[in-house]
Amino acid sequence: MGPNDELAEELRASARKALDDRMPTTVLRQVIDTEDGIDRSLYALAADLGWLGLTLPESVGGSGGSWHELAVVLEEIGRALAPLPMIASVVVAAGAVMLAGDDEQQQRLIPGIADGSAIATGALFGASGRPDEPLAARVERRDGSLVLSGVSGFVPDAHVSSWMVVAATDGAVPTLVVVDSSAPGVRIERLDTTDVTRRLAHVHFDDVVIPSANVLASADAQHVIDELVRRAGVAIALDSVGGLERVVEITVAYVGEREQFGRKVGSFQAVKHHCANLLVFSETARVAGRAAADAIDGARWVEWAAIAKSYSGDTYTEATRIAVQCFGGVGFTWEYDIHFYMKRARLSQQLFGSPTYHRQLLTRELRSRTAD
Amino acid sequence: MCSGWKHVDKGERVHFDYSDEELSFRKELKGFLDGELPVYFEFFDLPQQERFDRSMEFVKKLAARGWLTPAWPVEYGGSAHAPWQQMILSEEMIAHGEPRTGQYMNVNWIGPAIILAGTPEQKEYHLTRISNGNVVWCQGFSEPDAGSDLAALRTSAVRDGDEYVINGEKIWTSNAGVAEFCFLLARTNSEARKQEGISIFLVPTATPGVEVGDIDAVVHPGAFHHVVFTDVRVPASCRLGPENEGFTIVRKLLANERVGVARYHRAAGYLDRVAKWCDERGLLDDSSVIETLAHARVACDAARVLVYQVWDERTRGLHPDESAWVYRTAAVNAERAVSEAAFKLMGAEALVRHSHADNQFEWATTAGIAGGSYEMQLNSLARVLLGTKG
Ligand SMILES: Cc1cc2nc3c(=O)[nH]c(=O)nc-3n(C[C@H](O)[C@H](O)[C@H](O)COP(=O)(O)OP(=O)(O)OC[C@H]3O[C@@H](n4cnc5c(N)ncnc54)[C@H](O)[C@@H]3O)c2cc1C
Repeated sequence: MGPNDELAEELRASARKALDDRMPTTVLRQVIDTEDGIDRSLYALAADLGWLGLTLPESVGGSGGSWHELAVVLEEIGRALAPLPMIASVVVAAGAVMLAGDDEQQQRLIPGIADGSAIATGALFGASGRPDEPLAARVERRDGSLVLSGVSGFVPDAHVSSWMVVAATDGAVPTLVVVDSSAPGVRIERLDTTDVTRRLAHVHFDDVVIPSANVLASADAQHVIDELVRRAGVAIALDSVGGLERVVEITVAYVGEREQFGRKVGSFQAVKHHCANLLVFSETARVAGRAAADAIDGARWVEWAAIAKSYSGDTYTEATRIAVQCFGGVGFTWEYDIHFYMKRARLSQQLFGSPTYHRQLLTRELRSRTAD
Repeated sequence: MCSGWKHVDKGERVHFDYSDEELSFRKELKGFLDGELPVYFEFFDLPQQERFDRSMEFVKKLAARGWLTPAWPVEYGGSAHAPWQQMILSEEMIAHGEPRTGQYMNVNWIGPAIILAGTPEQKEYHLTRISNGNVVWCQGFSEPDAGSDLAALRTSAVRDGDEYVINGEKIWTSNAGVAEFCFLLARTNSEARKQEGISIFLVPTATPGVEVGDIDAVVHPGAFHHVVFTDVRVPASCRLGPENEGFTIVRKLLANERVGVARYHRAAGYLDRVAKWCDERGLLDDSSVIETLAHARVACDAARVLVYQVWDERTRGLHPDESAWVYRTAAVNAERAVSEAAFKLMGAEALVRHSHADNQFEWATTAGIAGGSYEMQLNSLARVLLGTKG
């Protein structure tokens, strides 16, 4: 354990304590019943604890930390199922502005993200929310101004955002623009999805005028979009790592208590193997997720990002299926927590590219490497 | 759609076709269903009371056509049609969201249990009502501490003169909120081996002391209940079969339940809808899409041909437990395969509540538990296969 890891473990302990205190599942149950489904006071606390600005540069209100630490926070959030719009706001929206924005844009937009006074998101895909399908939003120049129309599908946390980064086509090429979520012509259609701990929306743009200061100046927007998909994918993989860890704990605890045939059900070989498989999934997803977080900006980043997202997507869903099976009937009741994980796993699997999509990326990356 | 494979005669003959008569029955039935239920919908998505009202109305029409209990003997309100009619019915019903709701159980095993073990009075009263399609039953087996270990149930029925006094708690009782009768398992002898002290009671849920509560469930909201019995007095004539022989009767009849639900057919129906969804998006030229669809399709059709084999054995008077268990596990695997395929193909759109993927996912998740867990089915099979105990 290097000094880096001691710091990380301190951060983990404080994050776990904060989330245990503020977001036990008893509180989660109340938060998901509210209109917006997020806990703003917890978000403010996340800002105070420095989670939001962790990887943002000091010049824009961050603390210039690394993904090694961000990984810890994301894992703890996933473990607690905390309904915090952090991946959308910090990883995707702020990430886009840091990658593609100019100085003025960064100074204007990022401090609010770091101090939690603003929540933002990224609307990066077409109507189906898949990275491999064409964009369905476009910009046109009309009477000297830039106008956005069309739709972006399955946008996380759009309903609580004050601005969003939108990927749209400009003629034949993609471009990235910042859109004020309350601008005339922006309509946020909330979706009724099964994961109640995170909200998605289709965002419709009806001739939304984009000030020229809000066009992110990047020569290659597609490159930026691809990088955001990788980062968001790894962030979700880390959320899944935390979730998996908790799934193992609560399942092992349940089968160690529940008795049938005069024995703990956890003493039956079939159930033992289920639990052992959960551990294999959890441990493997953890090393893959952390390896990816540490690989950011390195030579094997693209590869690790694809591995982490595809592996965690499939194992988190499979692990929660097995876990629910271990719970038997009570797994289908609101009273137990396991179903929250099952649904969060499903959403995580599909958001920012499915396992299939990420495996294809991996194959392409490996091929391009051997071609070099 | 697969029109049907059936009649797999181990090693000898394999007939994959329905007879002309059976095919025309299926066609007539489908025509009727398309008229009655013009749009596909999940009955389970309806609020409980509406589901109940619509189902009652529908089942009466089904009964009036002789299509509720066609395979039953004529003297009990059936028309003694070949059992394949019941198979066709079970497939078409589930393909239309199971509009019989809880009454499918009456046809599959509650009625047959009464035919097997009922007194002339019980037969006269209950079988008439069941075959007319105007009574809903629930199954009062599981208890908080008796799930997989059903024989550990503790609800007691104590003889007091001409009555039994029942005390205890049942859980996960589907349809108890609307059921008029409960097919109840209760302990009548606490001294005997646990399987040998259980009796069956046909209990009117309106009896004083029966209290039905809701379980806050994440699947099929409103369908799950717990039922508490506090000093419930029923006449001894409510007991079905000899005292303490309830478990033997139920074991025999539950084999019917295992093969009576055409899970593979509902799953295949969802798969058809997913395929159509892919087609509308121009995805059917992609070989990985075709492979994913075909993989799940094979799982459904494998389960189908397995259940046809069991059914065929039944028609020849055999009651093989083993092949019923093999079928049951294959049907759960088919449910899971379709659910996985639907998520894989539909991507983020699968996440919307009541998408094809979401609906199938719900069925696939409960499939491994409802009616006995997947692990318990495998235990039973392994026991036979390996000749081991436990
Ligand atoms: C949708 C649905 C509808 C239902 N409807 C009804 C109904 O109408 N009436 C009714 O009476 N019941 C009903 N049930 C209850 C159902 O029969 C029980 O849930 C089931 O028998 C499992 O029992 P349990 O929930 O207590 O799980 P448990 O028995 O506690 O099992 C927990 C886990 O331990 C495993 N396990 C237990 N024993 C062993 C063993 N010996 N070897 C290996 N693994 C083992 C199980 O496979 C499971 O994974 C319904 C359940 C569902 C999900």
